[in-house]
Amino acid sequence: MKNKKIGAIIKNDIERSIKNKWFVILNLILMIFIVVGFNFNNIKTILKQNNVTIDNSITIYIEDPDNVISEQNIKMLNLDENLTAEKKDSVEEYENSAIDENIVLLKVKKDKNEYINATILSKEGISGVYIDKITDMLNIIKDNIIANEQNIDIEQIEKIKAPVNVNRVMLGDNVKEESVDVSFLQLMSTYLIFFILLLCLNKIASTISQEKISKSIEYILTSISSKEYMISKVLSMCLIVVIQFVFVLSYIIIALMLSVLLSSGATSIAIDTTTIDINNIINTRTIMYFVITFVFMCITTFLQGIIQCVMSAKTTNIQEAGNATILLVMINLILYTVVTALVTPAKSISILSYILSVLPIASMYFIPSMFIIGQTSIIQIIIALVILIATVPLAVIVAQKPFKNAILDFTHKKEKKITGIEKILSTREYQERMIQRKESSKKGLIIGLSVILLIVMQVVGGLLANVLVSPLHKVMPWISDGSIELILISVVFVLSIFIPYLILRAYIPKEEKIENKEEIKNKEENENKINTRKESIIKCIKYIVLSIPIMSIIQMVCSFAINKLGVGTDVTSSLGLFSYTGKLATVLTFIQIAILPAIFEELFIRKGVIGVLKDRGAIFTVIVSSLIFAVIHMNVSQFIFSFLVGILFAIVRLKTGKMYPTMILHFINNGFALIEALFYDHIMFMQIFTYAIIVLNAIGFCILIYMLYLKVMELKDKESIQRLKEQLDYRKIKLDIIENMYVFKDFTFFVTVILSAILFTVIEKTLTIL
Amino acid sequence: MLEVRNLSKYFGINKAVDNISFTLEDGKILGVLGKNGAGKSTTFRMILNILDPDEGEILYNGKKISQDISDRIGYLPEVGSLIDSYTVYEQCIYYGKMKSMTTEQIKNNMFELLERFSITEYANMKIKELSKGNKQKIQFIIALLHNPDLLILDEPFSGLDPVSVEYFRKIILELKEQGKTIIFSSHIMSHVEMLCEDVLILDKGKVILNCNLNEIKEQYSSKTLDITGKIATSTLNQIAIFGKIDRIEENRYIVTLANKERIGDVFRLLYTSDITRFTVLNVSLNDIFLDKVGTSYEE
Repeated sequence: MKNKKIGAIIKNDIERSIKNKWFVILNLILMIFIVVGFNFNNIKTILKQNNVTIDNSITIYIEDPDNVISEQNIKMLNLDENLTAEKKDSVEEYENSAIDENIVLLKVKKDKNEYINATILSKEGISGVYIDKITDMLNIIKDNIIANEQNIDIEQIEKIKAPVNVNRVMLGDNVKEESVDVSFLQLMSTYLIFFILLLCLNKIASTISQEKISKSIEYILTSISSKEYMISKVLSMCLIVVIQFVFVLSYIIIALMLSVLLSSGATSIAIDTTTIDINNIINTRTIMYFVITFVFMCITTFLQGIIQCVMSAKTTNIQEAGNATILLVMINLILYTVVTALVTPAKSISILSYILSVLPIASMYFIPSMFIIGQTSIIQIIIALVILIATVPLAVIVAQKPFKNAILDFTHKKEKKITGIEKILSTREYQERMIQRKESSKKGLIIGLSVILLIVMQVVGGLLANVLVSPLHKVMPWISDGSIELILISVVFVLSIFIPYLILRAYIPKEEKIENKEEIKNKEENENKINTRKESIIKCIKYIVLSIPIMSIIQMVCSFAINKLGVGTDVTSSLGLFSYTGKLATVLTFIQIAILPAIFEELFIRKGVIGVLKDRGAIFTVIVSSLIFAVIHMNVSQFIFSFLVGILFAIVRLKTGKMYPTMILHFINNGFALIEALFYDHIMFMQIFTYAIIVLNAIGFCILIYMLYLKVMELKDKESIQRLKEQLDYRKIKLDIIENMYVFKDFTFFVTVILSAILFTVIEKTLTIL
Repeated sequence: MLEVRNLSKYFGINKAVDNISFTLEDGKILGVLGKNGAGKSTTFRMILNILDPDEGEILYNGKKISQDISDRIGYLPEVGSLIDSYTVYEQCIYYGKMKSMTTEQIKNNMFELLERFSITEYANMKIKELSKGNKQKIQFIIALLHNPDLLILDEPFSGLDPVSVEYFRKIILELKEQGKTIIFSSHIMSHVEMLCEDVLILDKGKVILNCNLNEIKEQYSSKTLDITGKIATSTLNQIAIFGKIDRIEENRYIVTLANKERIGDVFRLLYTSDITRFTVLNVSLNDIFLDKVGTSYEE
């Protein structure tokens, strides 16, 4: 009784997919394609016979002052009924645009180096056959000339010109000589397998998702179990493919019959090229090949069909149904590529391919192609077959449960542990947090994406710049090589930071700007505008001055640590930035190293990243932004330094709420090293410069110590400590940390990490080699 | 006879169905009531053997339910189960074959049922061309196609106009007379009231009420009286002994009695008064539900 129901499903599916307009269209196209493809030459000859090809006959006028071409050669050309060759003293009279369409002019001259120099003139393109004939003739003449001049036998010349004759001998038991037809057969059948598989997977995906989406599945499952349903679907799809296969075969037969019919009326040349030498193909080995391929294909298709069933069952709309086939298609494509790479007649078969050949699914590709080149034993085939057959019931059993759950949309969610947060929060707070998590993860995506874009643009742009240097130098010779390179690097740098910044900008919350406006209004009302501006400037200067000594300390600590660890290489000098000479180059170097990073890196990190992350809490923002700041420097020795400085800058940015303090600080930091390098021979200047730095540092230190002193004094007061403790809400901090981790929950972050890690190692390596 | 014993089903930690038991005699109609997510559809799916119960068992005529008896069960799913690209006839063939019918049988039964709903002209129309109410009719036809003994109708009246509801009602009652057993769910009380003798009220997967509708109505309804007329204060005082009196209008009183045997006593007390109306109130299922679940059902 159940078998009847399974039969009904199969019958219904087959009927529906064959009585379908798309099936008809596909088959019509296939039929036309096959019939025309097989009879292409016949159709051509028929057209010729019916005098459609009058235009095809051509006349060749030959200009041959050195008398290279003999009468015999011309006679040879004239053998073709469509060709008339004639010698003329001069063909100049025909050499104009009004030349007849079927006239071809051939000019032949003797040449000292090349022996013969020939030109073919015609109004439009002529058939390749005629060109071949002419060149063949010329080649023979050339050979003759060489033979005469060098006193070599013509046969010797032919031997010299012939390609190397390679004999391949196989020492296996059942190996016969491989023919071109067999490898053609192998190629065609693998293509066919792939096509059939694709068709099958697609059909399964579409019908299952159709029945799931329309919920018809719920009715059907009252009558049969989900397992039976799954099997019947896979079976019906396999049968449809077989039917399609039969149709294609019938088209081929029609095409062959037609070609025999047509060619009997046409010239005998057509038969030679179209009909395949059937005796050559059909022997025991090819029959075996077909049998093996067919068996493996059937079982593997069934197996893959089951996997496809489970995946299609998880889809919720038609759009997803198409996407659900991607995984299996990719696996098949990879296997196909691996097979063509590993299994070739020229190479011995590696152990890897032997192992792969017994694995299910992979065996479908490996066993036939290994068989065709005679590298399989019967035992291997049997083992592969047994494993494959054994996997089928296993797959059915394993697939059954997830299939049923997926197709009925009953998801068995794992029991969620109720953590501390969920206990504390109310339902609404909890749901709000869930939304926030998604938002956080989106922020992670944006930041990750922009960093990836930045790195990729910098690397690719750098390569492009290298390529462009010399052509640009040719165009603008008045600028030195180095300057052009510097300009290009600067442009790449600016673009590679500014474009990712634009992405970030779109996601910076806009409240900030509105607040500022409101503040300004309030200030206007209170007429305190100037005062507050003054205050903020003073605050900024205070932070700048305070930061300088801290920066120096970080610099010292880092250079000490790097020296001790031995990882450090002086990046700027090894990149060769100071090797450029000339005033323009110096200015450009200064801009490139000191000014541009100060503006654009700050814009990207301190405005972009911090702007996006601002509402995630100060600590988190500071740490993440400085990490990204370290990452975009793309080398290890700068990593620690830029991370620590990044923390400092981020704090300054958050405290002052302005961009320019960090820009100035960044400029000072970058400019300091550069000025040292640029002016190392101006002793006076360097002395003044060093003193200035020392004084600045000293002032900063004094203020810093004073501030610290004030803080310590404040902390001595017990009440203030109490107040501080109250301010620190541990619960909130803990929650924030957990929530903020969701920023990292996006896959772009992993890509960023992998990308930067690879870049770090690569750049370090190239540097040490340099 | 359908017997459901201690049925339970978990979805993760959620208990969708929690220890449900009921029996249904042949030739009776059971109405299953409950809010969204009360476990109605899950229970049906277990009876239909789509889902396996985690605990408990279901017996039909003394046998454990299995795919073998599925041909004797008709099912109208809650969500539309029709495939858009099929015509009505093709759909009937597809589903009919699932119930081991021959093409000839399917054709005959289909036309019979289509004529009954007077929608014969739709036989070769595609499902996507039909309106929602007509789709529901087709689903109903498919459920009845193989002349099942047990009918499970999940929300049969959704998307129907009042005329069609009346059609459905007539046919369901006819089927009942033919001796079919029918289970149906709804969240509209009046639909249940007009069809069922037995009611099963579910809430959060648990059975709240499982009884005969008339019995329970008797229990509830007979306690409340609606009296209009001029009643002397002394009489009112006498009535007040039997139950609570609410004066809702100048001459209208609602009397809630403690005991239904007292109706006669109250009537006798009123024979001197100038009464224009004396009604024993029929309590609706909604009131019962309200009383049992505690929240208003029809929102």
